[in-house]
Amino acid sequence: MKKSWILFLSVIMAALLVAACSNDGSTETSSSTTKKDGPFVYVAQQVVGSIDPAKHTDETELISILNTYDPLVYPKIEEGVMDPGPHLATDWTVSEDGKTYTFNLRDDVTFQSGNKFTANDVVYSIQRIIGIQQGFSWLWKGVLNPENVKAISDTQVEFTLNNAYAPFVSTLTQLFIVDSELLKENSVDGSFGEFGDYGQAYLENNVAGSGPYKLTEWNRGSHLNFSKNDSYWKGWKEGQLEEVQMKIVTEQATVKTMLNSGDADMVHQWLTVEAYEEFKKASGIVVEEESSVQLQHIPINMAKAPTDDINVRKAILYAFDYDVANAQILNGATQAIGPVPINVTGHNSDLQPYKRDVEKAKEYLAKSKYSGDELTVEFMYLADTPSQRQLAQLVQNNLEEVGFKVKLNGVPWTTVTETTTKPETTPHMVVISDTLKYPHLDSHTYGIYHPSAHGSYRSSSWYEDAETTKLLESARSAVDPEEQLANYIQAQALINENAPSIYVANPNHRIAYRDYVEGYTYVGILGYDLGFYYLSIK
Amino acid sequence: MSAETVTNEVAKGSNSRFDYKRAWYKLKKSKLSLVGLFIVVGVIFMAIFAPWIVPYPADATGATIAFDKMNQPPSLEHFFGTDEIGRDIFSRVVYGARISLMLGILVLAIAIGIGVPLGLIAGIWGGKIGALIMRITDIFLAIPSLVLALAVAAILEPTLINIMIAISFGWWPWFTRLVYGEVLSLKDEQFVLASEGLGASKWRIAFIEVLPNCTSTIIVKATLDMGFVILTGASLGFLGLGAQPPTPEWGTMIAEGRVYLPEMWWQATFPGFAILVTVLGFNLLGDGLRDVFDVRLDGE
Repeated sequence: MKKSWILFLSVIMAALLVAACSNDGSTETSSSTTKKDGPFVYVAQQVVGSIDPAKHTDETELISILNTYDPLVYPKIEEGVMDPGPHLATDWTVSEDGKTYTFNLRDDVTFQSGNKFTANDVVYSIQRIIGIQQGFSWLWKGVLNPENVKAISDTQVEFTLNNAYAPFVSTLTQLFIVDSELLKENSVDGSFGEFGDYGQAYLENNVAGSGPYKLTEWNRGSHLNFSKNDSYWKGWKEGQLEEVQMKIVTEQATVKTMLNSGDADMVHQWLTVEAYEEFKKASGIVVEEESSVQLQHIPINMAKAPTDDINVRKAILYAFDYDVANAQILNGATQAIGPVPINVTGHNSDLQPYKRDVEKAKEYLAKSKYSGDELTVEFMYLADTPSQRQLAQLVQNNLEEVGFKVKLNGVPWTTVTETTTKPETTPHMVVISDTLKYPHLDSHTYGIYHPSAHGSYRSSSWYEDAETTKLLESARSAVDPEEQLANYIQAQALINENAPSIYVANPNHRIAYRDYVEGYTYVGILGYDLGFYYLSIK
Repeated sequence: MSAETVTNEVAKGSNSRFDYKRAWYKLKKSKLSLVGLFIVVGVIFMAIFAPWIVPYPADATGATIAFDKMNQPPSLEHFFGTDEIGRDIFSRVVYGARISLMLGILVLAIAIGIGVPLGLIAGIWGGKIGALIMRITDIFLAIPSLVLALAVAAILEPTLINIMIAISFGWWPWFTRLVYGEVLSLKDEQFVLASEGLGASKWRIAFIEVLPNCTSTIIVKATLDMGFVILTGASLGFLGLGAQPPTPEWGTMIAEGRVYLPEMWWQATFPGFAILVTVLGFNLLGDGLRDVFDVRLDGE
């Protein structure tokens, strides 16, 4: 018994010693600049839940779908901008009232099954996603009735919207075209009449796309293997990635070691700022860092006391230390000004950003109807995300200085999505990182502050303001682009004035890869920087 | 379990006095027990005098932030380096002893408070009541205490008090089992039979005659368990179910520091080391005390 203790102790000591010594040597191994044999390994941060293009919601799901399917329009990656450009659609026209869109389609595309791509597949795909009502179907809810999508010929399809909808073409970056013949063959009985289950059971494990890669293996929780689709309609060039593995690794220390040793060729964008700083110092690793079109903000629940009072919210906004948050926690991020990220076309540049001013914060608090009460606010954040933990403690410190009590609540992501479905359960404040969902500022105005968005984590502030709603609606349906822009600009000013959120930052987007990887372009749309087809090896 | 035999000198008659000199002599014989004692006294000292020991008490008590000196390696100014918010890790580790000790003591107090009376009742009364209590105990024992604590902690809001409740929930059955075994072997001792003959009530026999003779076993078990309770508490803290920031809880500190491994090793290593040393200390001391009291615990 006693001896085993001594043994145990010595093992621990030895392990500690080894750990301490190996620390210095960790960067030496990273001098290799040629790719190791085997597939291109991309390390992702979270498990892929669904590979069905009617159900994807997050980054890893989107990556697995955009590499195996094609959308009608694709962000103009080659030009480095996020605006949608031709892909399966060669060009399109819009009617004068802004309601009817006619797309001309490519006639040289075949699906991986060998079936030819036609307008019928487009009709089936949009009907399927709207019918299933999951994933990104909210983009077209109330805007497009499935029966109003018609195949005019094999290479022409017409969408008739209920009313003019400015961001429509942008939203099509989330419409991936499925092989309708294959799915009809593989449908089982379901709730969609003649369509059975729309092939949902089949797509739980299979792919029915025309994309550049075939899914060769999917081990849930561990990895997805892709290999090139030889008959891809865009063709293949020397150096492009033929075999790709998307590996899911959640422990940051492991991710760092993998990239350092060359076991991974590229790693995801969600590591700590410190990790990318370390990568920058290592040889053989490139860190891509650019300003993003992401909004990191802290929505304040406007439907719950005491933050239903605008004076309390303004006190919070003036108490927050934006400089520490941006300079130190987010390591050189730009302070966000209003809900729309600064780099997005249509951002209102006349808005005045809030600045820390403790005196002003106290004044506003004194003006509020809760003045004199002891105010306790709940602050929710992702416990496993260091920058959010840091923000949480910054807010706690800042607000206590003004006279609030702050109850911190570190949670996993699922708790955030669950609690924000109802105003009563939504915390007073919650940290949200919101990337553009489609390449249009409508995503961060209408998509967050229109009442139809209520119940999603995106609209955790439960913003409701008749004037804003009216502006957003007329912006969406305006046919004249100038009138449209004016509406969006005015809406931003109104939202900013109502103080529904601490607009913290448009943080920098960072991603790291080995220096033999070429062709990486980040345009701002979540996931679209990881179309493996566009990468190559030197 | 049923074959548990207790040869306890102290237990032979409720009026025999405890021989401190002899106990100290026995404890001294084992160097490791002394190391354990030394560590435990040290940890308790740290916990009590934390405000006077640490250089930056504010870093461990309030919502302090110091982002201009975050993630600094160990230095003379900050013995254990600083964390992601720029707080002194040494101060937080020392204050952490308070949290862990309080957790350990309170959990064991609750576990003993529930477990011991139930064990006594089951043993003395026997029959249907005894069987019922022991079967419930068995059900609880069938589930690993960490799993049970996880389940309870997940239902409750994550606070330090709730974590204690969650752990106690899975801990009391051990004491019930232990005391029950003791009672069974003491039940037929002369002094128990004598008081029965004198017409003492069952309550009196249980709590006045039998209980004092179980104390040494309970003390040894509690000392050995202290380490494990602290470890369980730290595990729950690590999983984010324990004390919420800015409370300096060791498990939470490791969880927060682990993303910075291996480069900023000090953030997770020092709180981890504190847990290691503390748990080790209580175990060594518990081992020593077992020899002193000459108690045999279940399964050893």
